[in-house]
Amino acid sequence: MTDKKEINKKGSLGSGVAAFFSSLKLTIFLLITLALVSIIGTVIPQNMLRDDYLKVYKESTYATLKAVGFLDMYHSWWFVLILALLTINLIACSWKHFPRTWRFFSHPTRLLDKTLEKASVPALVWRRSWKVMPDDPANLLPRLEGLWSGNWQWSKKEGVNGSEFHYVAEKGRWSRLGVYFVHLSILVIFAGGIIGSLFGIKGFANIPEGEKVTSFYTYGDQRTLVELGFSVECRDFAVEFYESGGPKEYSSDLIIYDNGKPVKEKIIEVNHPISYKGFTFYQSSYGSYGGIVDLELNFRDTGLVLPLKLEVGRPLRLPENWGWIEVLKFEENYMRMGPSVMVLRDPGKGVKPYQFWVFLRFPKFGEENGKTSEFCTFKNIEQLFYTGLQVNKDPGVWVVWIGCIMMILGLYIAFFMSHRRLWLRLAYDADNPKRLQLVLVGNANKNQPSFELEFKEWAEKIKTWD
Amino acid sequence: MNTYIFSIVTFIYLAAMVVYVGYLAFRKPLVARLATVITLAGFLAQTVAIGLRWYESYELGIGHAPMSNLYESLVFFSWTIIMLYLYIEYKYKLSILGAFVTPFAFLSMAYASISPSVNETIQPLVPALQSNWLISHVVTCFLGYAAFAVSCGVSFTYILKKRYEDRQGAGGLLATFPTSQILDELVYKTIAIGFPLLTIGIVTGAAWANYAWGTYWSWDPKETWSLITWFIYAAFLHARITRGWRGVKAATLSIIGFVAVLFTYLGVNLLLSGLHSYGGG
Ligand code: HEM
Repeated sequence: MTDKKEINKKGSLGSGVAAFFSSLKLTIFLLITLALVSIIGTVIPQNMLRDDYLKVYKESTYATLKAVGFLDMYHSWWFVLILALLTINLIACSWKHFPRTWRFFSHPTRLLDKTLEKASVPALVWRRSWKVMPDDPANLLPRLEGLWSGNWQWSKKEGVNGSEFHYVAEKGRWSRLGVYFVHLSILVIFAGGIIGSLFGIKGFANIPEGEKVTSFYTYGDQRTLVELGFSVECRDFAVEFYESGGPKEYSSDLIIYDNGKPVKEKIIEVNHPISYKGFTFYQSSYGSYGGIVDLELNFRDTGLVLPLKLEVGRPLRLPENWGWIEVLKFEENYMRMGPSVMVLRDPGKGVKPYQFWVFLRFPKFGEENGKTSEFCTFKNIEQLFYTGLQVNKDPGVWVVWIGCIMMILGLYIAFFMSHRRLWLRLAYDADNPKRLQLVLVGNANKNQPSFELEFKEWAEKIKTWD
Repeated sequence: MNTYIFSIVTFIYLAAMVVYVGYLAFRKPLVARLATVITLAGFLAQTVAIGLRWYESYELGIGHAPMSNLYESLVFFSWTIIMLYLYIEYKYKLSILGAFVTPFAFLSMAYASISPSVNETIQPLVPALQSNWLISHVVTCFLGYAAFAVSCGVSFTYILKKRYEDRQGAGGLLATFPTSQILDELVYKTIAIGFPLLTIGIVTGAAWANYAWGTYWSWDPKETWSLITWFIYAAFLHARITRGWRGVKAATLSIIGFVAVLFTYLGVNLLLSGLHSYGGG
């Protein structure tokens, strides 16, 4: 007794769990929950540095938000749990519903019996009879087939039930699989995402013009160095501006060397990356790290002009006993004076070193400052750039795209194609063996109104037969 | 030149809206015919102006499809709404919907023309937007949004009509509305058009992001809000096949869905920060 009860209980518990996980109510609940909780991450900035959060939140608020996972919520355990529940729900639900769909394939309804006739939509049932049989009923079929366009395939005499002749035709049976395709595609996309997060790598590489890299650093708290196994050289970097001052285009001329041989080259731009051996390099930023500055050093007493080529940050010893000079830094627009460099001058001979700015747009600035015994003019700068590349490897991305294509195709099938069926029965009247009765029944699982119109047209045509 | 035509179009849509409401009130077929003609005229003028703007951008040497800033997207949004609406009116002979749909097109145009925060000039594209993905991404998203706008209009109509039927009301304006069953079907149909389009919009956006930045999904607020919208309409689709969730509940979900669309489209840029560019508009 107790055993049996136990089993029953287990059975009902098991089936209760199964019913819970395969229910559409759970689906609606999970989808709405996902929509609601996703809002959090759009209001609270995600994955920022601690110091940036502390500018906005109090220390305690920050700690709480971090503890509940709101600062990286799309990767928090509870967000992943909701996605996992949705996945289980999806699988359980498809498992439950698939047998019913499969029946359309394994046991198609072939006979137009009274039950089917009664259960059908009235607009899709049409009858007529001939007082005198127009022709041998077997010859009616070719006439019928002429009514329907080529892709309606009528079965030859599906069954004979006494004196009844049954025929069936159908279109788009497989469209019933569209929904499963959509559901499967979600699993495929999830799989692609998981592959990407397990095996993908993201990082960045800054390459100065004319130099090569063979590795790059990953993003994140723990930056790790990843070896590429080949090398990437930036031959040239260029940036173009709109008249308004905004950047129009920036591009890097890259060459990839494998085993010391150049294997691939391309001028990459934003939106036009280069890929090699699973790694893709994207133009993402750029920066300048100084440059070569043309300066003229003028000695007032002798009138001597000394042209100099100085690399930013590298001190130069001048000939004779003229001391040292160094360009400390370059600025695009110092004090709204346009391109400017800061110069450190150490004239030696016991004179204290001093610093000063010179401006490209104001060449007379130094000369007019009469107190000094020498002055500089800033002639030109050839800036040196480095290109900022994002480096990425994501082996899951193809899986994601396959899933996306499946989903789009599946949605098209699910929404815009329908499974349409027709049944036809020809039978002699039981009371009057000369009298022939025709019954045509239609069924469409989608878009019924337009099917009804088609159905009516066929009926009209059959009406005109004698 | 194009902005001048667009302001005229705004008034044409206002007129269409007024006449459609007039049709609701007087139920004269002639009025409906007039409303359709006005709407069609507005639509044609708008189409010409969009073409002109496209052409002018090439004259300026910064040629790009006119859907790259807030002004252009608002214009395009109202254009897709009207296009889809005219198709549905033609296909289902439902002029009554016009009163519920043309206001969206009018408001979108009015916001574009009047709001001082919306810049009307043709601007050059920043590097990230210079891509062929821009057109496929924006067009599919906006077609989807338009379908959802129509659906939202129909959902309001449905809820009014359903209440009326439940009261067993007779006579009055609501008597002339299509039955709640037809409206329910129409809410579904428009979402069945919008959902795949939004899906393609999200996928093309992801493909573009992957191509341009190397990440197909980065949970940027705009992306996330488009996904939120997608979740809501997915919930709608399943609500409709569930007994007890049909009808008013499903229609409410469709309205909430459209609120999410509006937030994805405008709210994110005005209230949140992220990668997408219309905000500066
Ligand atoms: C994000 C997740 C999902 C998406 C995008 C999705 C999408 C769809 C779509 C587009 C349809 C067709 C609706 C229609 O024809 O009106 C559908 C139907 C359906 N979905 Fe989902 N679905 C999702 C998750 C689920 C889950 C988790 C379940 C599990 C209970 C489920 C169960 C069903 C069922 C039972 C149908 C009806 C099938 C039929 O008509 O035979 N869906 N789904």
